[in-house]
Amino acid sequence: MNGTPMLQVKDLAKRFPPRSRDEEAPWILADLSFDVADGEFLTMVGPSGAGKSTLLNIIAQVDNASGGEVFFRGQLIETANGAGLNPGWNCQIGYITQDDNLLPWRTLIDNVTFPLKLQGRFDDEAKRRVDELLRVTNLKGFEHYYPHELSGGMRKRASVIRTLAYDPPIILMDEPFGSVDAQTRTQLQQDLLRLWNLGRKTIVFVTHDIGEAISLGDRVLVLSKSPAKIVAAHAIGIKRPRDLGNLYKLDGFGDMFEAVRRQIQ
Amino acid sequence: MPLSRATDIRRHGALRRPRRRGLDAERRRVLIDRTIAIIIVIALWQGCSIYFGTIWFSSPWLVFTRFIDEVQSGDLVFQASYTLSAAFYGALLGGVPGALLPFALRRHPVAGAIFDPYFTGGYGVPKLALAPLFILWFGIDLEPKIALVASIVFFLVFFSTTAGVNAVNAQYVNIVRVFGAKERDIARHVVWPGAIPYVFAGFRIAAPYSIGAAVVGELISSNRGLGFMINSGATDFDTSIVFVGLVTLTLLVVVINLLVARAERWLLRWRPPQQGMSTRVVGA
Repeated sequence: MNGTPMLQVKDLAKRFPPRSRDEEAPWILADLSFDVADGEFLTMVGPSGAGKSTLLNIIAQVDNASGGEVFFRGQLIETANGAGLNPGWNCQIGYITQDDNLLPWRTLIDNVTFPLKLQGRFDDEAKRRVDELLRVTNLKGFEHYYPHELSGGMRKRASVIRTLAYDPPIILMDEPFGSVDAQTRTQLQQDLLRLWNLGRKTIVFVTHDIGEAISLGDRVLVLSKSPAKIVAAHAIGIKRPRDLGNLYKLDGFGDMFEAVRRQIQ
Repeated sequence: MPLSRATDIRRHGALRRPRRRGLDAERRRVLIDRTIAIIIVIALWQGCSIYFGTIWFSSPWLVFTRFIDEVQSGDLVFQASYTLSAAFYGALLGGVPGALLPFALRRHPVAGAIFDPYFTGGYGVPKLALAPLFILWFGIDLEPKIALVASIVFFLVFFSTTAGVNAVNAQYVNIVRVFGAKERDIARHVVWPGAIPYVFAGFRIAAPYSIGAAVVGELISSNRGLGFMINSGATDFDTSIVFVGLVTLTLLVVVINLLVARAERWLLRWRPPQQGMSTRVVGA
């Protein structure tokens, strides 16, 4: 691990264009600054509507900022000019969105290998890697199913390994497990940690679920209501590998949960 | 993990589309009712032919025997293939540009905005009124009929495909950009597959119109085709041949619809079953 953080966000600000001429558009983000270290699993927790998705959209370069700077490995990323955006920053920044966004006309395997094929990197090693990911996520045997033939949890896993397969150094996750039932959710979180252990990618994981933020992250940033500001940062000392089903029994988990809950309000 | 496929599916809750085989009660009922309806229609037809006389209203039996005669003599196949080729080449000549142009205009929104009123205006022109002009320009052979069919099919497919191109899911576009997709990849892997159902809907609506336009072209001036056959039959008070023409046209449209529906089902097998039917819109 060298000194330069993987990702630096400095004084980031965002507001959307006003809807009418005499209306002042509200700020979604204002003076938001934080660093993400190489190999860190950072979680950000904040209330719904805090601008979490907007923040990730800006870092992923699918939306522009109204002010501030973003650095990737010390290099400035163009964020202000909407036309000059470079989504994914040359496949360096992965983005797993709230909806699985699997292309409905491609089978599971064609979805998972799609980024690799686009990037012209679908070689034997990539094939082995995809095979391994399918195995770890219990998706083997379903390669030729279309997304509508899969359950919600399977689609989520497919969407996660689609990004892991092409191996970007940093991955942004926007409440990827928001729309599944509680049991599936715990399973998906456990799967994610297992996958993460294989490569220890840098992850920025955004959620409104306090428990999820604490159980997954090395560090939790607590965001305020819009315009989003960082109101607290907590280092999570729970050792890995973590058993998510029993995490809440650990000393200090409840206190941490309470503290974060109060800070959000 | 030596799990059987069935266990696997149960455990993960994956859903394969249930395929219906054989006749269940509901479908059998529909088939029976349909047959009864056909018998009633034929009986009414027979009644009309007795009441008005077969000079004005040919009977089902006469039409049937005439149909067989015309098929055996090869005349019906000759006339029908003339009409079909006008409809086919016209649908090709109008439909292919109609399906491709919206993609070009997506890349050039300014051109799209400039030409938009012309497309809307062109759609509004009653194409059948152009038939005399096409005859003037192209003569009385196949060409004016092809032009007439193309002028109708183009707008139907164009507007349907445009709706599909505009309905592209912005989230898909963003995510494939993050994966490194260029504009060309987006058009090929996101916009095109998403718009195919709309292209099909356009062609499905256009199919009966293309046959209809070819016939109208033949009614106006031709010495061949089903339209010509119907016209000369009516002039000779030979209503049997008129009905043979009408029945043939109906059969053609039904068969074309079946073929399009089958192609659609195969090409769009990725769609959830509840969206499986293409929209049946009556337009133009």
